[in-house]
Parts: sequence; C-alpha cells; structure tokens
Amino acid sequence: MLSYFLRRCLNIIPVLFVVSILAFAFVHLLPGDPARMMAGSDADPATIAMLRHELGLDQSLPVQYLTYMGKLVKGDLGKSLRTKTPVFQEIKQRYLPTMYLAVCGMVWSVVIGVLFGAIAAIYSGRWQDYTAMLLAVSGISMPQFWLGLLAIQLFAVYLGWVPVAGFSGKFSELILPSFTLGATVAAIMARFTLSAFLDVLDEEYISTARAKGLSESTVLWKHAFRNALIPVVTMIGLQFGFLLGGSVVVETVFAWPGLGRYMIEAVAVRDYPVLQALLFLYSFHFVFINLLVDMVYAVINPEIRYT
Amino acid sequence: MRLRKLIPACMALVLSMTAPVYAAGTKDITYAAESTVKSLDPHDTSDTYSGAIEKAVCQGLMGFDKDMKIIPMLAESYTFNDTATQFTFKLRKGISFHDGTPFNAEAVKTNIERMMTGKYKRSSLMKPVKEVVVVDESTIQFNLKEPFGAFLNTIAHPGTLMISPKAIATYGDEVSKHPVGTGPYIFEEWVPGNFLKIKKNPNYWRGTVKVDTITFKPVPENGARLAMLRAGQAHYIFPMPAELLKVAEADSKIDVITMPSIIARYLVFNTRYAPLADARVRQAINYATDKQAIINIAMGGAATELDSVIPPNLQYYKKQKPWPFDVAKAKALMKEAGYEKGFEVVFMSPTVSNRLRAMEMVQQQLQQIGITGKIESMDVASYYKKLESQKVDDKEIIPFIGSMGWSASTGDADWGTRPLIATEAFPPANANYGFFSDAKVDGFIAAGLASANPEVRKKAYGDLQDYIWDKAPWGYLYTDSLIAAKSKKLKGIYPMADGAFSVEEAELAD
Repeated sequence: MLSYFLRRCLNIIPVLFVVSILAFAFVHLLPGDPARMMAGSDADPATIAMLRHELGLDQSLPVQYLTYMGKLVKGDLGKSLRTKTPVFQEIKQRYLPTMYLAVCGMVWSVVIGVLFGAIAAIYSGRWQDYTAMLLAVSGISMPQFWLGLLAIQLFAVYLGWVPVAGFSGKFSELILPSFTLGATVAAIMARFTLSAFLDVLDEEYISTARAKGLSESTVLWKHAFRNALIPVVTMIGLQFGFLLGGSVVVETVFAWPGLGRYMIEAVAVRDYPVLQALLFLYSFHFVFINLLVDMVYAVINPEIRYT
Repeated sequence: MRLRKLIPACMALVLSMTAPVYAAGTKDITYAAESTVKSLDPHDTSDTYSGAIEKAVCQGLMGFDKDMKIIPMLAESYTFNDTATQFTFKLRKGISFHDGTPFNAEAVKTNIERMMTGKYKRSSLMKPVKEVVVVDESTIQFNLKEPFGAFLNTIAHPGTLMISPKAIATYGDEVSKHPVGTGPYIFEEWVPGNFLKIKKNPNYWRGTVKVDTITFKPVPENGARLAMLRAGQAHYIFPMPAELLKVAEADSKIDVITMPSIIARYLVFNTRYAPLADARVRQAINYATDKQAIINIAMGGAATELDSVIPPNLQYYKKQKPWPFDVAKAKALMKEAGYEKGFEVVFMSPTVSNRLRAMEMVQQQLQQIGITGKIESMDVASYYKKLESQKVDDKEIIPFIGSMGWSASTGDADWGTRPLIATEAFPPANANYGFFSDAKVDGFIAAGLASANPEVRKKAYGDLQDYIWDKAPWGYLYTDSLIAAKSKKLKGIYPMADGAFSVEEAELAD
C-alpha cells in the first residue's frame, strides 16, 4: 500500500510537466494581446509597446517558455499582468472561499444525492422513486444562474434571512451559494447512486443474502449499499475536482471572491501567468483527487488492496 | 427528538450571524459595482472604475466637475502662453497628504517625473512634456515639446492624480496597494476580488466629509447587484441593468439616475477601397440604419442618438442634424454610386451582448439596400487584435462593417477625434480602423492643438464637426447612457459622464 502510494506520487511529476507545456501553449495560442487589454481601450501604441516590453511579451515564444519554466521550477508562478501582484498570493486569497464553497456544496449534495438515489433504488417503480428522480432531473436541468437568482429573490430580498451576495467569512453567506452549487451535483449523485444501487441489487450475492434469511435492512445497508458506493466515490472525487476549480457561474452570481471568477477575469484580459497557474492548479487537483479516490476504494472494499 | 432541539439552535446560530454588519452610530456606505478594482496607482491605471476610486483618495491639480467641466483642484489658478507650450499652476497652500507630507511644487514634480519615466500605463499623458520646473514652493511650470492645446485636460485626467512623495519613496511601485493622497477619503483595506474600503479623512481641506467609510464590492451579476440594493446590503449600484429598470422604478426605496456618457458608438468601415470609399455609399448606410430602433431594442432604451462625431459631454461638442431613417433616400444614393444591386460585406462585432444585438439589427436593416453578409463575432481581445492587424495597403481586404466604441477619457475633443479620424492614427498607430483620411480634417485637428485658448479651440473643433458630419466616415449610432441606482437614504454620490463617479459629497440619512 505504501509503496503503491509513493509510486503514484512520483507519477505526478511527469504529468504536471506535460500540463505545464499544455498550459503555456494553450494560453499563448489564444488570440488577443494582453498588453492591449491592460492598456485600456483608448491607449496609444507607445503605451502598448511599453507594456509589451515590460511584460516580456516582445520576446520569442521559446524564450518566454524557458523564462516561465525557470521560474516554475523554483516554485515562482510569476506576477499577474493585470495587478502586478504575485499570482501565488492572489490564488491564496481566493482559494479558501472556493474551498469553503466546494466542501459545503459537496457535503450536502452527497448526503441528499446518495439518500435520494438509494430511496429511488429501494422503492424502484413506486412514488418515492418518481418523486426523487423528478427532483433530480429538475436539479440537473435548472440552470445554476437561474436557481441562484431565484434563491436570492426569495431568501435574501423578500424574506431577508441571508445576505444577497459577497463573502466576508460569515457562515450565513455560504448558505445560498453552496445550495445553488450543490443542486446540480446532488442531482447527478442521485442518478448515479440509483443506477449503481440497481446494478448491485441484481447481483447474485444479494439474492444469496436474502435467501440466507438476513433482514432486508442488513441486506440493503451491509451488502448492497457498501458495494454500490464504489462507483459513487469515483463520482464524488470527479465532481469535487470540478468544484475546487471554482464554479464560474455560482461565483459570478453570488459575487464570490473565489477562483472561478478569478479565472474569468484573467481570461478577459489574457492574464497569461494567472491562466497558466490556474490550469496548473486545476490539473493538480484532479491528479491529487484521483489518488485520494484510489485510496478510499481500498478502505471501502478490503478486496481492493494494491501491492 | 434531539433533532427538534437542534433545528432552532441552528436557526438561532445562523440568524445571529446575519445580524447587521454595521456598528451603531457610524455611517457606512456600500457601493456594488460590476467591475473589480485593478490598481490604486493612478499613474498606472487604465480602467475608469479604479480611476474613480483613486479620485476619492488622491487629487490632481485640476479636476472635472459633475458636467465634465474642468475646475481647479489642488491648483488655485493657472496661466498659459499663446503657443500652448508653457503652462504654469499656482498651488493651494497648507494642504497635506494623508501621511502628513506637505503638498507643494516639489511633490508635483516628483509625481510628474515619475510619470515621465515612461514605465506606467498613463505615462503617455506626459508625452508632450519636455520638463517640469519648480518655480517656488507653490508654483509649478510645465514646458512642452510642442504646442498641446488640450494640456489642461491632461492635468485634469485621473491619470495625473498626486500621490504623496513619501509613499512613492517607501512603497515604490507597490504604492498601487497603498495609495496616499490629499482627497476626502483615506485608503483603509483592499482584498482584491472581494472588497475595498476607504474611510473619512478628518482633516480634509475642502470641508467635512459626511460618511465614515465607503466599501466597494464587485458584484458582476446584474440581478444580484440590484438584489443587494433592494435588500439594503448596498446603497449604490453601478451600472443599474437597463433590462431591470421596471423592477427598480417600482421599488419605493430606490432612485434611478440616468445620464449620457462620453462613449461614442459607431460603425467603422474601410473608407480606402471600393465600395465603401464612396461617400454616397456611406451616406446611404447612415440613412438606412434606424438608430432609434437599435437604441430601443439592443440598448433597452439606455442610449441617445449620436449627433456629432463626438458625444455631447465632450468639450467643444457641436450638435449636428441627425441622419433621418430614410430607406428611399438610401436606395437612391446606392443607385447613384452604381451599387443598385448592393454588395457583400462582413459584419464584425465583439461578443458583448448589446453590441452584438445592435450589429444584428444593422445587418437586417442594411439588407434593404442590398448590403448583405454574415456576422463574425469574437471576444473583445480577439476583436481589437483583428482590427489592429489590418494593413493600410492591403487591397485584398474584404469590405467590413465593424462595431466600434470610444470613450475619450480626457473629456477633450482632441482625444475624441484625433485617434479615430486623423491620418496619423491609421492602425497600428491608433484606432482609425477605417483608414479615413482627409487633409482638411487633419488641419482642423492640428489647429485645435495649436492653442490652449478656449475660443480658438472651440472654433477648430466646431468647424471639424460641421465638416465631417456629411462625409460620413462612420455609420453614426448612439451614445450609451449611464444608469446608476441608489437607496433614497443616500445623497451626494453621482455618476459622471466618463463612467466614473464622485463620492466626495456622500451623505447617508439614518
């Protein structure tokens, strides 16, 4: 187990190297000139040329790549072209709000999603199933910005229970955005749990368990649920990876000072160092979560033990 | 059963956390904006929003009043010579920066010379300056390389605000996070992407500031911004989304403020080669576009028809007779020019929803006079890159009709015309993307810069506007209106035509 873990960790290095090249190439292939965007719409060409020089954009691409890699190896992500602040510092400031949102959204969506999915599977074909799946389909189909704005109108403007938008560290500010963010994920989790559960319920060992005379609840929770959980955990990992990137839509609607909005702002002005760093960070999230998910498999199912 | 006790406990906890943020007795204003603050270094700022906040903290020798008229700020008076090459400012005495550093001619020199290093986004403002001389403690003199009649506007521009020399020495370029000025508010805290807070300057030289703090928050989503105002979590929002005006007007706690901006919106086309080189074709386009319909539909009514090459709030604006919507006349002109059957063009627009909608309407309207083609839309960065990369001698260039907008941030007619229609402004030098070139136009523009005398300048730009209107270098469209909304309790914050705002006189009722 430990050696497997270490090997997996070492594998991360070449992956991240490839990511660094892709991030650089992708960002520099985008049309549009950052110097032009920084200088403002009514800037004169001398200002644009000055900025291009200042930002190192007048050098050839290979030179720019080497500069970027040279810094990256030393752990320096560079400075934002827009604010001239170190990218690391800016990401640090926005990481926690996104993290809170992702964790909060994830926790409730997993609880609700798995519960609904399980209920739908157990009561397959009955009203409980239909109700749960109706809610799930609505959750997937409802655009997040719409759901978010509805929630704002109802809970923040009319009822005045929670703040409209923004985040200054209070829990009350987390409620609406995490609910909105989690709605889609909860729906996906419910659908996924349902199908995983149904697959497991068809397995012969479930029939065997029932034939042994075990109580229905033991069959469901000890045998079926545990096994159905494996694909669900994979899904949780993947979804969490996405959430950690910061949801562009939810963060925009709720004026959330997180990574998703940071990304959008950076794309709009072609802030190369920020985009590269974010792409890098997102890839790292996925690599890391995949690793984590594999570890969790082993805990859930003792049969899966790596050598 | 435990759950039953837990729920009220949780509710109480949540509610306690939503308790009012504001301490009793202090007057705190929240300003929710679409934009995010990018920098607080006035010399290195290119966006209007950051510039407006800088203006609450720092001040310049000159400034703009509500109507974009130039007024003296830190300068008491000024003089200039006949050739517009020397400008002398008498400074107000007894003013200090927030850190106690005295404001004097030496401080001005430090700021101007910092800009003149060429390292900052607004360095270009000081391009005409040869040297800046300290005459005495309270007199500063600018000697220019060549006549530059618009120099007073340069000095009034938010890019020329004065920062404490001590702060420049202490922080270097990090002063962008620690601005220290002479303004009504002192910078307090900035968490980028989250909020920025300024507080009352108790020793403000122009009088008492009436609120304790102002917090600026970026709220990019239109609906959420209005919701914050309605829920009382913001006192002022900008921009107020035009599509939600009915909701805001129905709310008795809210005032809506509308004013014309200094943004000119027009269609740009290549005037160098056929068919758009023919003035009659361009005139036909101006007749064939229904400006009012575009304003009503694409802009939700939040715009006014453009009635000169520069918008009404720029200096030396002179109103012209608008082009009526007249398809018959347009058809006749097309026939006269030999394009009775029309021709094909490419319509180009950035993917900004109201500009794209406007372009779709233009495309539809021009179909009636035989000008047809597809719309090519791309994001803002790619769009300007495309316009800029055109070559003046490229005969193969496809005739295009592009969406164009220009905000002359110095508020002066020179910056509203020269970069757009002067021969010297062909791309990549500047934004004359249609390669419009006319010796008379260049002459008027030069005359406007040769003097700082308002009468001389007024005549030059008036003549220019009269002359160019019928030449139709562009398809004239509209000037955006600025719409803000505020709580009725709030007074004294108002939007300015350049897209900025003033908070100096802010007042909040209990």
